[in-house]
Amino acid sequence: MIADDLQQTLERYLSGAMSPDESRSFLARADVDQELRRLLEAERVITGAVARDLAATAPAAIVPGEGLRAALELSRTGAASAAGSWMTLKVAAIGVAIGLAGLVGGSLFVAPMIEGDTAKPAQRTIAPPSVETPAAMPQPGVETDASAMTNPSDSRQDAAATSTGAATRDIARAARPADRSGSATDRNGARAATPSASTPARVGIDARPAESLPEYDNQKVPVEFEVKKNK
Amino acid sequence: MHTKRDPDPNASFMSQNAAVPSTSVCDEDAQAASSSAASRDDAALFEAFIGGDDRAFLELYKRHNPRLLLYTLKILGDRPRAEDVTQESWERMITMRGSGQPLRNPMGFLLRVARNLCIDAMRARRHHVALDDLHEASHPKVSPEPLSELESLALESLEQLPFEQREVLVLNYYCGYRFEEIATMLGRTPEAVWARASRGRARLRQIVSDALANEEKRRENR
Repeated sequence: MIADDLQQTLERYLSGAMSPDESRSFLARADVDQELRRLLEAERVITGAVARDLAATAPAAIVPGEGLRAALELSRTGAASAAGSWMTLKVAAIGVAIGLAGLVGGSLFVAPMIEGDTAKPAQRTIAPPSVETPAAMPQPGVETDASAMTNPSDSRQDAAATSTGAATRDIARAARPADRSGSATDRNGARAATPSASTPARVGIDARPAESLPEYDNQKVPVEFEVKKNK
Repeated sequence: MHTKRDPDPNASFMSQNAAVPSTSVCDEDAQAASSSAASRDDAALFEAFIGGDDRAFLELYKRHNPRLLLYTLKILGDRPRAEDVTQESWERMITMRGSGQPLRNPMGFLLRVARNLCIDAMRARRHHVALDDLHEASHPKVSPEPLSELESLALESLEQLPFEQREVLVLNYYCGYRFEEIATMLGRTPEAVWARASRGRARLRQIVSDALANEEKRRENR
Protein backbone atom coordinates (compact mmCIF):
# COMPACT_ATOMS: atom_id res chain seq x y z
CA MET A 1 0.00 0.00 0.00
CA ILE A 2 1.36 3.35 -0.98
CA ALA A 3 1.53 5.81 1.84
CA ASP A 4 -1.01 8.60 1.82
CA ASP A 5 1.58 11.27 2.42
CA LEU A 6 3.43 10.19 -0.69
CA GLN A 7 0.23 10.45 -2.72
CA GLN A 8 -0.46 13.88 -1.27
CA THR A 9 3.01 15.02 -2.11
CA LEU A 10 2.57 13.80 -5.66
CA GLU A 11 -0.78 15.56 -5.90
CA ARG A 12 0.82 18.79 -4.83
CA TYR A 13 3.50 18.41 -7.42
CA LEU A 14 1.07 17.57 -10.21
CA SER A 15 -1.22 20.42 -9.33
CA GLY A 16 1.66 22.89 -9.42
CA ALA A 17 1.20 23.86 -5.82
CA MET A 18 4.83 23.35 -4.97
CA SER A 19 7.35 26.11 -4.87
CA PRO A 20 10.43 25.76 -7.12
CA ASP A 21 12.53 24.63 -4.19
CA GLU A 22 9.95 22.04 -3.19
CA SER A 23 9.76 20.81 -6.77
CA ARG A 24 13.54 20.37 -6.96
CA SER A 25 13.63 18.43 -3.73
CA PHE A 26 10.66 16.32 -4.88
CA LEU A 27 12.40 15.36 -8.12
CA ALA A 28 15.60 14.62 -6.26
CA ARG A 29 13.63 12.29 -4.02
CA ALA A 30 12.01 10.59 -7.01
CA ASP A 31 15.45 9.67 -8.36
CA VAL A 32 16.17 7.56 -5.33
CA ASP A 33 12.68 6.55 -4.22
CA GLN A 34 11.55 3.65 -6.39
CA GLU A 35 7.99 3.80 -5.10
CA LEU A 36 7.66 7.47 -5.93
CA ARG A 37 9.14 6.82 -9.35
CA ARG A 38 6.50 4.13 -9.97
CA LEU A 39 3.81 6.56 -8.98
CA LEU A 40 5.06 9.11 -11.46
CA GLU A 41 5.20 6.43 -14.15
CA ALA A 42 1.66 5.36 -13.25
CA GLU A 43 0.48 8.93 -13.62
CA ARG A 44 2.06 9.10 -17.05
CA VAL A 45 0.36 5.86 -18.09
CA ILE A 46 -3.03 7.09 -16.87
CA THR A 47 -2.86 10.42 -18.62
CA GLY A 48 -1.63 8.78 -21.81
CA ALA A 49 -4.43 6.23 -21.74
CA VAL A 50 -7.04 8.92 -21.23
CA ALA A 51 -5.60 11.00 -24.04
CA ARG A 52 -5.62 8.09 -26.47
CA ASP A 53 -9.11 7.08 -25.40
CA LEU A 54 -10.33 10.62 -25.85
CA ALA A 55 -8.75 10.93 -29.26
CA ALA A 56 -10.32 7.68 -30.34
CA THR A 57 -13.77 8.62 -29.15
CA ALA A 58 -16.11 9.45 -32.00
CA PRO A 59 -16.94 13.13 -31.93
CA ALA A 60 -20.32 14.30 -30.85
CA ALA A 61 -22.61 16.32 -33.04
CA ILE A 62 -22.68 20.04 -32.51
CA VAL A 63 -26.07 20.47 -34.12
CA PRO A 64 -29.22 18.90 -32.74
CA GLY A 65 -30.65 15.85 -34.39
CA GLU A 66 -34.10 15.54 -35.83
CA GLY A 67 -35.68 14.49 -32.57
CA LEU A 68 -34.29 17.44 -30.71
CA ARG A 69 -35.26 19.81 -33.47
CA ALA A 70 -38.79 18.49 -33.29
CA ALA A 71 -38.84 19.00 -29.54
CA LEU A 72 -37.52 22.51 -30.04
CA GLU A 73 -40.19 23.26 -32.60
CA LEU A 74 -42.82 21.76 -30.36
CA SER A 75 -41.73 23.90 -27.46
CA ARG A 76 -42.10 27.01 -29.60
CA THR A 77 -45.51 26.03 -30.92
CA GLY A 78 -46.49 24.97 -27.43
CA ALA A 79 -45.67 28.41 -26.17
CA ALA A 80 -47.66 29.91 -29.01
CA SER A 81 -50.60 27.65 -28.35
CA ALA A 82 -50.41 28.58 -24.68
CA ALA A 83 -50.62 32.22 -25.65
CA GLY A 84 -53.52 31.41 -27.95
CA SER A 85 -55.34 29.54 -25.25
CA TRP A 86 -54.87 32.54 -22.94
CA MET A 87 -56.48 34.77 -25.52
CA THR A 88 -59.28 32.26 -25.92
CA LEU A 89 -59.78 32.24 -22.19
CA LYS A 90 -59.96 36.01 -22.07
CA VAL A 91 -62.53 36.12 -24.86
CA ALA A 92 -64.56 33.42 -23.17
CA ALA A 93 -64.48 35.31 -19.87
CA ILE A 94 -65.70 38.47 -21.59
CA GLY A 95 -68.47 36.49 -23.26
CA VAL A 96 -69.58 35.01 -19.96
CA ALA A 97 -69.57 38.45 -18.34
CA ILE A 98 -71.71 39.86 -21.12
CA GLY A 99 -74.08 36.94 -20.87
CA LEU A 100 -74.47 37.37 -17.14
CA ALA A 101 -75.09 41.06 -17.53
CA GLY A 102 -77.76 40.29 -20.09
CA LEU A 103 -79.43 37.83 -17.80
CA VAL A 104 -79.47 40.27 -14.90
CA GLY A 105 -80.76 43.09 -17.05
CA GLY A 106 -83.40 40.89 -18.59
CA SER A 107 -84.59 39.68 -15.23
CA LEU A 108 -84.87 43.24 -13.97
CA PHE A 109 -86.95 44.13 -17.02
CA VAL A 110 -89.20 41.12 -16.88
CA ALA A 111 -89.65 41.00 -13.11
CA PRO A 112 -92.35 43.73 -12.93
CA MET A 113 -94.41 41.94 -15.52
CA ILE A 114 -94.13 38.70 -13.65
CA GLU A 115 -95.16 40.29 -10.38
CA GLY A 116 -98.62 41.07 -11.77
CA ASP A 117 -99.20 37.44 -12.39
CA THR A 118 -98.02 36.13 -9.09
CA ALA A 119 -101.52 35.66 -7.70
CA LYS A 120 -102.29 32.81 -10.01
CA PRO A 121 -99.70 30.45 -8.71
CA ALA A 122 -100.73 31.35 -5.19
CA GLN A 123 -104.28 30.48 -5.97
CA ARG A 124 -103.30 27.31 -7.57
CA THR A 125 -101.83 26.20 -4.32
CA ILE A 126 -105.32 26.16 -2.85
CA ALA A 127 -106.33 22.89 -4.22
CA PRO A 128 -109.75 21.30 -3.82
CA PRO A 129 -109.67 19.71 -0.43
CA SER A 130 -111.09 16.44 -1.55
CA VAL A 131 -108.43 15.95 -4.14
CA GLU A 132 -105.10 17.35 -3.07
CA THR A 133 -105.05 18.37 0.55
CA PRO A 134 -104.36 15.46 2.86
CA ALA A 135 -106.25 17.12 5.71
CA ALA A 136 -109.35 17.25 3.55
CA MET A 137 -109.05 13.71 2.48
CA PRO A 138 -111.69 11.44 3.78
CA GLN A 139 -110.67 9.07 6.44
CA PRO A 140 -110.26 5.57 5.21
CA GLY A 141 -113.01 3.33 6.05
CA VAL A 142 -115.60 6.05 6.21
CA GLU A 143 -116.68 6.35 2.64
CA THR A 144 -119.89 7.91 3.60
CA ASP A 145 -118.12 10.89 5.09
CA ALA A 146 -116.00 11.33 2.05
CA SER A 147 -118.95 11.37 -0.20
CA ALA A 148 -120.65 13.77 2.16
CA MET A 149 -117.78 16.11 1.83
CA THR A 150 -117.88 16.09 -1.89
CA ASN A 151 -121.62 16.15 -2.13
CA PRO A 152 -123.38 16.70 1.15
CA SER A 153 -126.84 16.48 -0.23
CA ASP A 154 -126.42 12.92 -1.33
CA SER A 155 -124.57 11.74 1.69
CA ARG A 156 -127.28 9.54 3.05
CA GLN A 157 -128.02 7.93 -0.27
CA ASP A 158 -124.37 7.30 -0.89
CA ALA A 159 -124.00 5.87 2.52
CA ALA A 160 -126.87 3.59 1.91
CA ALA A 161 -125.58 2.57 -1.46
CA THR A 162 -122.14 1.75 -0.26
CA SER A 163 -122.84 0.51 3.15
CA THR A 164 -123.32 -3.08 2.19
CA GLY A 165 -119.94 -3.76 0.68
CA ALA A 166 -117.72 -0.94 1.81
CA ALA A 167 -118.77 -0.87 5.38
CA THR A 168 -118.04 -4.51 5.82
CA ARG A 169 -114.64 -3.89 4.39
CA ASP A 170 -114.17 -1.10 6.86
CA ILE A 171 -115.07 -3.31 9.68
CA ALA A 172 -112.63 -5.89 8.55
CA ARG A 173 -109.98 -3.23 8.26
CA ALA A 174 -110.71 -2.05 11.74
CA ALA A 175 -110.20 -5.59 12.96
CA ARG A 176 -106.70 -5.80 11.62
CA PRO A 177 -104.11 -5.84 14.35
CA ALA A 178 -101.98 -3.27 12.63
CA ASP A 179 -104.78 -0.80 12.46
CA ARG A 180 -105.53 -1.22 16.11
CA SER A 181 -102.19 0.16 17.03
CA GLY A 182 -103.28 3.61 15.98
CA SER A 183 -104.81 6.06 18.33
CA ALA A 184 -107.38 7.70 16.15
CA THR A 185 -110.76 6.14 15.93
CA ASP A 186 -113.66 7.24 13.97
CA ARG A 187 -117.08 7.73 15.29
CA ASN A 188 -118.05 4.19 14.39
CA GLY A 189 -115.53 2.86 16.75
CA ALA A 190 -113.43 1.56 13.89
CA ARG A 191 -109.90 2.67 13.85
CA ALA A 192 -109.16 5.19 11.09
CA ALA A 193 -105.72 5.20 9.67
CA THR A 194 -104.34 8.68 9.77
CA PRO A 195 -103.28 9.68 6.33
CA SER A 196 -99.91 11.17 6.06
CA ALA A 197 -98.22 13.16 3.40
CA SER A 198 -96.39 10.14 2.16
CA THR A 199 -99.24 7.68 2.22
CA PRO A 200 -102.12 8.61 0.00
CA ALA A 201 -105.46 8.22 1.56
CA ARG A 202 -107.66 5.48 0.25
CA VAL A 203 -111.13 6.62 -0.51
CA GLY A 204 -113.59 3.77 -0.43
CA ILE A 205 -111.38 1.31 -2.28
CA ASP A 206 -108.85 -0.80 -0.57
CA ALA A 207 -105.94 -1.07 -2.90
CA ARG A 208 -104.67 -4.19 -1.32
CA PRO A 209 -105.39 -7.46 -3.03
CA ALA A 210 -108.31 -9.34 -1.70
CA GLU A 211 -106.30 -12.29 -0.53
CA SER A 212 -104.30 -10.07 1.78
CA LEU A 213 -107.31 -9.00 3.63
CA PRO A 214 -108.16 -10.94 6.75
CA GLU A 215 -111.09 -13.21 6.50
CA TYR A 216 -114.18 -12.00 8.06
CA ASP A 217 -117.41 -13.58 9.02
CA ASN A 218 -120.34 -12.65 6.87
CA GLN A 219 -122.55 -13.21 9.81
CA LYS A 220 -121.49 -9.98 11.44
CA VAL A 221 -124.24 -8.04 9.89
CA PRO A 222 -125.18 -6.25 13.09
CA VAL A 223 -122.13 -4.13 12.69
CA GLU A 224 -123.46 -2.79 9.47
CA PHE A 225 -126.64 -2.21 11.21
CA GLU A 226 -124.87 -0.20 13.82
CA VAL A 227 -123.32 1.97 11.17
CA LYS A 228 -126.69 2.76 9.74
CA LYS A 229 -128.00 3.32 13.12
CA ASN A 230 -125.42 5.88 13.93
CA LYS A 231 -126.15 7.79 10.83
CA MET B 1 -3.92 25.49 2.61
CA HIS B 2 -2.29 25.32 -0.71
CA THR B 3 -3.72 26.67 -3.87
CA LYS B 4 -5.44 24.06 -5.96
CA ARG B 5 -4.93 24.15 -9.66
CA ASP B 6 -5.77 21.71 -12.34
CA PRO B 7 -3.11 19.26 -13.31
CA ASP B 8 -1.15 20.19 -16.35
CA PRO B 9 -2.26 17.21 -18.46
CA ASN B 10 -5.78 18.59 -18.51
CA ALA B 11 -4.68 21.36 -20.76
CA SER B 12 -3.89 18.88 -23.47
CA PHE B 13 -7.24 17.15 -22.90
CA MET B 14 -8.99 20.45 -23.22
CA SER B 15 -7.23 21.26 -26.45
CA GLN B 16 -8.08 17.84 -27.83
CA ASN B 17 -11.61 18.09 -26.67
CA ALA B 18 -11.97 21.53 -28.12
CA ALA B 19 -10.81 20.13 -31.42
CA VAL B 20 -13.60 17.57 -31.43
CA PRO B 21 -16.36 19.84 -32.65
CA SER B 22 -14.29 21.03 -35.56
CA THR B 23 -14.52 17.60 -37.10
CA SER B 24 -18.16 17.16 -36.25
CA VAL B 25 -21.23 17.73 -38.27
CA CYS B 26 -21.67 21.33 -39.20
CA ASP B 27 -24.63 22.63 -41.14
CA GLU B 28 -26.41 25.84 -41.84
CA ASP B 29 -28.18 25.96 -38.53
CA ALA B 30 -24.92 25.88 -36.64
CA GLN B 31 -23.58 28.65 -38.81
CA ALA B 32 -26.78 30.57 -38.35
CA ALA B 33 -25.99 30.94 -34.69
CA SER B 34 -24.91 34.51 -34.60
CA SER B 35 -21.59 35.68 -33.31
CA SER B 36 -23.40 37.75 -30.72
CA ALA B 37 -24.94 34.59 -29.34
CA ALA B 38 -21.53 32.96 -29.22
CA SER B 39 -20.18 35.79 -27.12
CA ARG B 40 -22.89 35.56 -24.51
CA ASP B 41 -22.57 33.41 -21.44
CA ASP B 42 -24.69 30.37 -20.84
CA ALA B 43 -27.21 32.06 -18.57
CA ALA B 44 -27.84 34.82 -21.08
CA LEU B 45 -28.20 32.28 -23.84
CA PHE B 46 -30.69 30.29 -21.84
CA GLU B 47 -32.68 33.41 -21.06
CA ALA B 48 -32.76 34.25 -24.75
CA PHE B 49 -33.86 30.70 -25.47
CA ILE B 50 -36.72 30.99 -23.03
CA GLY B 51 -37.65 34.21 -24.72
CA GLY B 52 -38.08 32.35 -28.00
CA ASP B 53 -34.62 32.56 -29.55
CA ASP B 54 -33.85 29.13 -30.97
CA ARG B 55 -30.40 30.24 -32.08
CA ALA B 56 -29.46 30.65 -28.45
CA PHE B 57 -30.33 27.03 -27.87
CA LEU B 58 -28.24 26.00 -30.86
CA GLU B 59 -25.31 27.89 -29.43
CA LEU B 60 -25.73 26.19 -26.08
CA TYR B 61 -25.93 22.86 -27.83
CA LYS B 62 -22.83 23.58 -29.84
CA ARG B 63 -20.92 24.56 -26.74
CA HIS B 64 -21.83 21.76 -24.43
CA ASN B 65 -23.08 18.76 -26.34
CA PRO B 66 -19.63 17.25 -27.09
CA ARG B 67 -18.63 17.39 -23.45
CA LEU B 68 -22.01 16.24 -22.25
CA LEU B 69 -21.84 13.25 -24.54
CA LEU B 70 -18.33 12.48 -23.36
CA TYR B 71 -19.55 12.58 -19.81
CA THR B 72 -22.46 10.21 -20.42
CA LEU B 73 -20.30 7.99 -22.59
CA LYS B 74 -17.62 7.59 -19.98
CA ILE B 75 -20.08 7.17 -17.16
CA LEU B 76 -22.21 4.63 -18.99
CA GLY B 77 -19.61 3.09 -21.28
CA ASP B 78 -22.23 2.51 -23.93
CA ARG B 79 -22.44 4.88 -26.87
CA PRO B 80 -26.07 4.36 -27.95
CA ARG B 81 -27.25 4.60 -24.39
CA ALA B 82 -25.08 7.65 -23.80
CA GLU B 83 -26.51 9.35 -26.86
CA ASP B 84 -30.01 8.63 -25.65
CA VAL B 85 -29.26 10.06 -22.25
CA THR B 86 -27.62 13.12 -23.75
CA GLN B 87 -30.55 13.78 -26.02
CA GLU B 88 -33.00 13.34 -23.18
CA SER B 89 -31.01 15.82 -21.12
CA TRP B 90 -31.34 18.40 -23.87
CA GLU B 91 -35.02 17.64 -24.18
CA ARG B 92 -35.40 18.31 -20.48
CA MET B 93 -33.79 21.67 -21.04
CA ILE B 94 -36.20 22.37 -23.87
CA THR B 95 -39.12 21.63 -21.60
CA MET B 96 -37.79 24.29 -19.27
CA ARG B 97 -38.89 26.78 -21.89
CA GLY B 98 -42.48 26.33 -20.84
CA SER B 99 -41.71 27.16 -17.24
CA GLY B 100 -40.13 30.47 -18.15
CA GLN B 101 -37.70 30.24 -15.27
CA PRO B 102 -34.16 31.38 -16.01
CA LEU B 103 -31.20 29.20 -15.12
CA ARG B 104 -28.06 30.71 -13.70
CA ASN B 105 -26.05 27.64 -14.58
CA PRO B 106 -27.55 25.87 -17.58
CA MET B 107 -24.62 23.48 -17.90
CA GLY B 108 -24.98 22.57 -14.26
CA PHE B 109 -28.64 21.86 -14.88
CA LEU B 110 -27.76 19.75 -17.89
CA LEU B 111 -25.12 17.86 -16.03
CA ARG B 112 -27.39 17.10 -13.13
CA VAL B 113 -30.10 15.86 -15.45
CA ALA B 114 -27.59 13.73 -17.33
CA ARG B 115 -26.15 12.46 -14.09
CA ASN B 116 -29.54 11.37 -12.80
CA LEU B 117 -30.38 9.74 -16.11
CA CYS B 118 -27.05 7.93 -16.09
CA ILE B 119 -27.71 6.65 -12.60
CA ASP B 120 -31.14 5.46 -13.70
CA ALA B 121 -29.63 3.77 -16.72
CA MET B 122 -26.99 2.07 -14.62
CA ARG B 123 -29.59 0.85 -12.18
CA ALA B 124 -31.72 -0.48 -15.00
CA ARG B 125 -28.73 -2.18 -16.54
CA ARG B 126 -27.82 -3.70 -13.23
CA HIS B 127 -31.28 -5.15 -12.96
CA HIS B 128 -31.83 -6.32 -16.48
CA VAL B 129 -28.48 -7.32 -17.94
CA ALA B 130 -26.59 -10.45 -17.12
CA LEU B 131 -23.27 -9.97 -15.39
CA ASP B 132 -21.42 -11.74 -18.17
CA ASP B 133 -22.68 -9.23 -20.69
CA LEU B 134 -22.08 -6.24 -18.48
CA HIS B 135 -18.34 -6.02 -18.74
CA GLU B 136 -18.26 -6.26 -22.50
CA ALA B 137 -21.17 -3.92 -23.02
CA SER B 138 -19.79 -1.30 -20.69
CA HIS B 139 -16.29 -1.39 -22.00
CA PRO B 140 -15.37 2.19 -22.73
CA LYS B 141 -12.64 1.70 -25.28
CA VAL B 142 -13.60 2.54 -28.82
CA SER B 143 -10.05 3.16 -29.91
CA PRO B 144 -9.07 1.42 -33.12
CA GLU B 145 -5.46 1.34 -31.93
CA PRO B 146 -4.84 -1.27 -29.32
CA LEU B 147 -3.90 0.14 -25.96
CA SER B 148 -1.03 -1.21 -23.97
CA GLU B 149 -1.72 -3.55 -21.13
CA LEU B 150 -1.12 -0.85 -18.55
CA GLU B 151 -3.27 1.66 -20.41
CA SER B 152 -6.09 -0.81 -20.61
CA LEU B 153 -5.67 -1.46 -16.92
CA ALA B 154 -5.84 2.26 -16.23
CA LEU B 155 -9.08 2.72 -18.16
CA GLU B 156 -10.65 -0.34 -16.65
CA SER B 157 -9.65 0.87 -13.22
CA LEU B 158 -11.27 4.19 -13.99
CA GLU B 159 -14.45 2.32 -14.78
CA GLN B 160 -14.33 0.57 -11.45
CA LEU B 161 -13.87 3.63 -9.32
CA PRO B 162 -16.73 4.72 -7.08
CA PHE B 163 -19.25 6.75 -9.02
CA GLU B 164 -18.53 10.12 -7.42
CA GLN B 165 -14.78 9.81 -7.96
CA ARG B 166 -15.19 8.56 -11.50
CA GLU B 167 -17.63 11.32 -12.31
CA VAL B 168 -15.25 14.03 -11.20
CA LEU B 169 -12.35 12.47 -13.06
CA VAL B 170 -14.40 12.09 -16.23
CA LEU B 171 -15.49 15.70 -16.04
CA ASN B 172 -11.91 16.77 -15.51
CA TYR B 173 -10.01 14.38 -17.76
CA TYR B 174 -12.42 13.97 -20.63
CA CYS B 175 -14.69 16.99 -20.53
CA GLY B 176 -11.97 19.41 -19.57
CA TYR B 177 -13.82 21.22 -16.83
CA ARG B 178 -11.86 22.84 -14.07
CA PHE B 179 -12.58 21.77 -10.53
CA GLU B 180 -14.25 25.07 -9.75
CA GLU B 181 -16.61 24.54 -12.67
CA ILE B 182 -17.30 20.99 -11.62
CA ALA B 183 -18.00 22.15 -8.11
CA THR B 184 -20.48 24.70 -9.40
CA MET B 185 -22.18 22.17 -11.62
CA LEU B 186 -22.43 19.54 -8.93
CA GLY B 187 -23.35 21.97 -6.20
CA ARG B 188 -20.28 21.07 -4.12
CA THR B 189 -17.37 23.01 -2.80
CA PRO B 190 -14.19 23.02 -4.89
CA GLU B 191 -12.38 21.42 -1.99
CA ALA B 192 -14.81 18.52 -1.91
CA VAL B 193 -14.48 18.03 -5.65
CA TRP B 194 -10.73 18.22 -5.38
CA ALA B 195 -10.73 15.63 -2.62
CA ARG B 196 -12.82 13.27 -4.69
CA ALA B 197 -10.57 13.65 -7.68
CA SER B 198 -7.49 13.25 -5.55
CA ARG B 199 -8.76 10.04 -4.04
CA GLY B 200 -9.71 8.72 -7.45
CA ARG B 201 -6.36 9.55 -8.97
CA ALA B 202 -4.55 8.06 -6.02
CA ARG B 203 -6.54 4.88 -6.44
CA LEU B 204 -5.72 4.71 -10.14
CA ARG B 205 -2.06 5.40 -9.53
CA GLN B 206 -1.96 2.74 -6.87
CA ILE B 207 -3.42 0.12 -9.22
CA VAL B 208 -1.10 0.99 -12.07
CA SER B 209 1.87 1.30 -9.73
CA ASP B 210 1.19 -2.15 -8.32
CA ALA B 211 1.03 -3.48 -11.87
CA LEU B 212 4.33 -1.80 -12.63
CA ALA B 213 5.86 -3.35 -9.53
CA ASN B 214 4.64 -6.80 -10.56
CA GLU B 215 6.10 -6.29 -14.01
CA GLU B 216 9.43 -5.31 -12.51
CA LYS B 217 9.39 -8.42 -10.38
CA ARG B 218 8.73 -10.60 -13.42
CA ARG B 219 11.64 -9.00 -15.22
CA GLU B 220 13.88 -9.59 -12.25
CA ASN B 221 12.81 -13.24 -12.08
CA ARG B 222 13.78 -13.74 -15.71
